[in-house]
Amino acid sequence: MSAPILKRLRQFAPRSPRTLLLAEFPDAKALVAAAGALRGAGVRRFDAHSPWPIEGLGRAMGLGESILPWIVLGVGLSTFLGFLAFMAWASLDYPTVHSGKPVLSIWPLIPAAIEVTWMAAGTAALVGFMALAGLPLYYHLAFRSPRFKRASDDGFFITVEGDDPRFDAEATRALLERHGGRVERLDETSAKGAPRHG
Amino acid sequence: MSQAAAEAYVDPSLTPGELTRSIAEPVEARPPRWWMVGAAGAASLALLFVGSVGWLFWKGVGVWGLGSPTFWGFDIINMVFWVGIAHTGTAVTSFMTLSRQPWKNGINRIAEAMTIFAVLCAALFPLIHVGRPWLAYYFFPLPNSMGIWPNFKGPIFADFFALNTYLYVSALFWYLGMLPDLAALRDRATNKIAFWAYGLLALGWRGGARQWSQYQKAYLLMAAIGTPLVLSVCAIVSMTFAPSILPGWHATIFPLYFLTGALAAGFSMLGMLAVFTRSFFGFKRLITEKHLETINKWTLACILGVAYVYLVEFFIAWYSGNLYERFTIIHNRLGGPYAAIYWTMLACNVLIPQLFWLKRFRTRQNLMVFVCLAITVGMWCERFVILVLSVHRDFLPGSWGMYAPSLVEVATFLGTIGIFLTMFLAFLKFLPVISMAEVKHSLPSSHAGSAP
Repeated sequence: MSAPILKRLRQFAPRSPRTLLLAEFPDAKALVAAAGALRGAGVRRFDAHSPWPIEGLGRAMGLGESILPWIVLGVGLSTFLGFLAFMAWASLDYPTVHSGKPVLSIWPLIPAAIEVTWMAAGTAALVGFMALAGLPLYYHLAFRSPRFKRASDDGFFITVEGDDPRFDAEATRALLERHGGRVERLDETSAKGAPRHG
Repeated sequence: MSQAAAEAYVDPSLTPGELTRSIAEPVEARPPRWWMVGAAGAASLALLFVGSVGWLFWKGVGVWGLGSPTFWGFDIINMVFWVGIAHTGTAVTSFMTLSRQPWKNGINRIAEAMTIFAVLCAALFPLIHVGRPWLAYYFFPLPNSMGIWPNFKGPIFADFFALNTYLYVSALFWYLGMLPDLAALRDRATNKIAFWAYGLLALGWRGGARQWSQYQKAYLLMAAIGTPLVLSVCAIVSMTFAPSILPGWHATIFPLYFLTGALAAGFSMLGMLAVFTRSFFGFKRLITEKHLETINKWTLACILGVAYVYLVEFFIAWYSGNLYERFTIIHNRLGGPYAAIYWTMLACNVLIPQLFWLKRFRTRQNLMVFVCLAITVGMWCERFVILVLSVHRDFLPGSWGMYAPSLVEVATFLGTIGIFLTMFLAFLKFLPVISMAEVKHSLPSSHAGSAP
């Protein structure tokens, strides 16, 4: 019973590609130009990696607005109303009178409801971010390239995934090189073992 | 972010590679001797907490100096003291992110760490204050066989949620901000333990444009959640006092009172920690004198708010014409048995911080630490004044009494200072102290080529 559900859920899980073209660029400008050119050439499954967010890169890649704010708003609002309803129900379930206050009054319940809302909204922001950003994904083919370590330091990279049925390795390589990229090809079968440290 | 303003806070000659090295190397190197000595001292101090709380659990709350009419003593004083210090971290990150203040980049990680450790210290006090900490789960609205629920209308219930939410959301925010830096440490790791530890925490972050765009949105949302959260936590903590009818507590200015006090306490503590970090780690190019000066300007602004609240308290006590208000706030504070503490508070919180009007005090490390230390002492006195001076002499002279902490209470407080310092030193050693990705982002060279 549960196995098919798990299997079906797994197709949504982030996973590492089988083939990857990895290109290193000298600076942010070249990265943005190459990303724009890839998009212009109709390549879909690629990403541009940089140690800090680069303005204009998302636009060049044609990334849309994130839906994360809507997720956070939805979770926050439903938590607020839900927790308020719960406290109201519990106040009636076990009525107590404190300093002559009415058994059920909405105002003293609001501070706690707001705090719980932020707890839920913060969780939604972090978990939603992870889901939308494809994290956690501890193994990715790009990690096999020692050069890729600089993506968190001062390097600029583009990775093109080979899983796209229209993936044309030679044309893509030529395009990336034309924009100043140092290209290497990574294949899942070409290397063995987990990525090494050091 | 305006580029010119950002450049003033970072050394423009730094390259991203140098930046990674200078922040990551202290984490990777063997800890220096001062760190070992400091950590040993702080951990020993933290043991005081374990010992005194162990004794408390063994004997019961009778080992404290509490008794009629003062039932909220050192435990609540120190809780409010630590909560106050805790406020600045998330405030710095949230307010400054939303208002795009570039100076936060160098110090927000330190401020957030300070927040989390201080809230942890604060949260220990209510836990032991309830007397039977193994029953602390009664705070949670859990269904149980007795069919009872917490009093949802009580401010203590909201206070419980405020503290927990603050701790939790601050920790999430801290972690989210650290994610790209943890990936950088993972990529630089030269031994297996570091590789696995930072690797697990970094979640496989690759810095892809798709990840960055979601990340920036998530960070902004966290800041948007954090801003009202910070304001609400002060307000809710103050409301555990304000709804009671005691003179000195029953005032509508209390949320503002706690907010200004908390921010002043937090900024002055942040100033000290920033000085400590930059002088011991040699981060002088990353935490610049301009950072220190900006922190001190904020401290001064908050101190002016504190002084205003003190003034309003006196005014209302006089203007209300209420005998008890006048007695508690004017006579008992200025000339009562605890007058020394009140005058220390006024000197430390109002007089000494005025030195920050002078540029020399804002930029010279040792002068600035002196003022910050004074404010920290003053803020502690303020918590004492708020708590004890309102309850030890109430409406009926026949029920007056005095409160003095027992040795166990003092040891518990010193122990939390040890816990705070231990955690802060561990943070300095094991985590990236300055946000590499954010500082790189603000470097002038990082945008040279990108599209406008």
